[in-house]
Amino acid sequence: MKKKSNVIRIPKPRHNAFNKHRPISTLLRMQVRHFHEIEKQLLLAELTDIELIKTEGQAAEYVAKMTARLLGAPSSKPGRKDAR
Amino acid sequence: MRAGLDELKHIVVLMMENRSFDHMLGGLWAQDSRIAGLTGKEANPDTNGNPAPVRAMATFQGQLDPDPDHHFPAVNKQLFFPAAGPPGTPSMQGFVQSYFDQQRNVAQSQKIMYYFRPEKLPVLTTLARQFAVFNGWFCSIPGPTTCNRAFAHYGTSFGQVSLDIFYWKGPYLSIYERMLQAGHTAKIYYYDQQSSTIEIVNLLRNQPQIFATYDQFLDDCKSGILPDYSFVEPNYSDHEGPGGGEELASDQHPDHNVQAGEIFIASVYNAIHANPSLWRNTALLIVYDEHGGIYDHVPPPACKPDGFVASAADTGTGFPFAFDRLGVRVPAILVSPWIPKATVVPGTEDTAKGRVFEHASIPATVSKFFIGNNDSGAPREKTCDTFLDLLSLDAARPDSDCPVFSL
Repeated sequence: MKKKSNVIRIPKPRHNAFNKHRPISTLLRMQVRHFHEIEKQLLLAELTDIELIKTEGQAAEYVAKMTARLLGAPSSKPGRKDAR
Repeated sequence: MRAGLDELKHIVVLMMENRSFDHMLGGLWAQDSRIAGLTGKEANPDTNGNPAPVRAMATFQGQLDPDPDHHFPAVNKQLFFPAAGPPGTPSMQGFVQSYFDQQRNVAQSQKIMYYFRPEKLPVLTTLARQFAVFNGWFCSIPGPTTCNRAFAHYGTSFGQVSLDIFYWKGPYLSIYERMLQAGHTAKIYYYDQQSSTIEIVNLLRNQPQIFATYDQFLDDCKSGILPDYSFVEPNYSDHEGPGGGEELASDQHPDHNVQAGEIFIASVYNAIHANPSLWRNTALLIVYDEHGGIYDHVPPPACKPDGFVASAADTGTGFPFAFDRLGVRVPAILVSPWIPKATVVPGTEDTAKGRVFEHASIPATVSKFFIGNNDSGAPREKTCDTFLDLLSLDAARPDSDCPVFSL
């Protein structure tokens, strides 16, 4: 079969590119704080201590929990499909 | 009306993170001198007083760590050094000085001048060469993410120049709310719950119905039920995904892997391209929210004041900001089969025909096309340029003339 000339192969990132333990950037810190502001407005019984969130993986867990709460959906945990 | 606009039903915007035009696309000047990239002669002075030239040595990851400062005071230095700030045309001579401030390391500070060889970014550079690349798309504020993304959603940042959370102050509604009020459909597709949305958590709280995941975007493309207007957000963090697999950040924010962003851009393009009818009636804009502190050589121009003023204390520079000039230039590419191949939209380098775009151009374009006017838009949105005139062909380009990315 003739190869299509307009198909462009895209290389993949190196295998060790993933690092959920990377310290969170200013941007992710800001995202966490924004969700925390909402969390405070929701007057929940127990507020998350966001000062304990240091890594991207930890930030992602918190952001998922808050997103699920705002959507009224179950939190998406590893091993589960995202709730829509 | 042109045929491409007759058939247009969907506008999709993908907003990436923190890379300047020259860093990502500056190397294309060597292939096409109409593209306002780098000649190779551009330089900034380093802190020893020596010239630090641009070099095609950018790498996918590990080079811009720490994350270059792009808060308002740092960008002010990047733009105006050796002057303290405006008035006057930005010199674009302070990028190395600004990066040096973070680590006091001369060798590291020079890396802020590095740019990618075009062949290292096959997705972005192919789309730029195959469709329309903007020489003059600037971020809306010389500052960080939050306030710049606000311009894409609201046409204003309501006076904000920082990363702080902001609260809607009216009277300007988000483009999503305006679309819904006018009987149209609009969605913000975030990558997944772990990544969620940046900047608009208040919108997520108050209007959760306009949000969906990227998986839903892929399904909606396949089913041909994409909303009239879609805003796509990349993955902002490395985290575990469904099944415990690795979800690599795809936003290209330093120091996230740039190749992962290339794959994400390609997947958005492929999802639209794979559905023939959707492909014919969709315009895809790929744009970056701001420059992330990375070098660009084009001075940002003045613009219509926003109506808000950030105080001297808020800017952190000792002087107020009236939102009357734009931020640093960012990559922006418009994709549609109705766009002539290798379109280059001239920017400020062309004093006769140059056009200037900014993030307020996004709600302005969406509003103008779907709703018909910008009467309820913010001041910048009412005066900025719109971009759908670029769909200028009388017939859609054949599929054989458009790229396909194999992932």
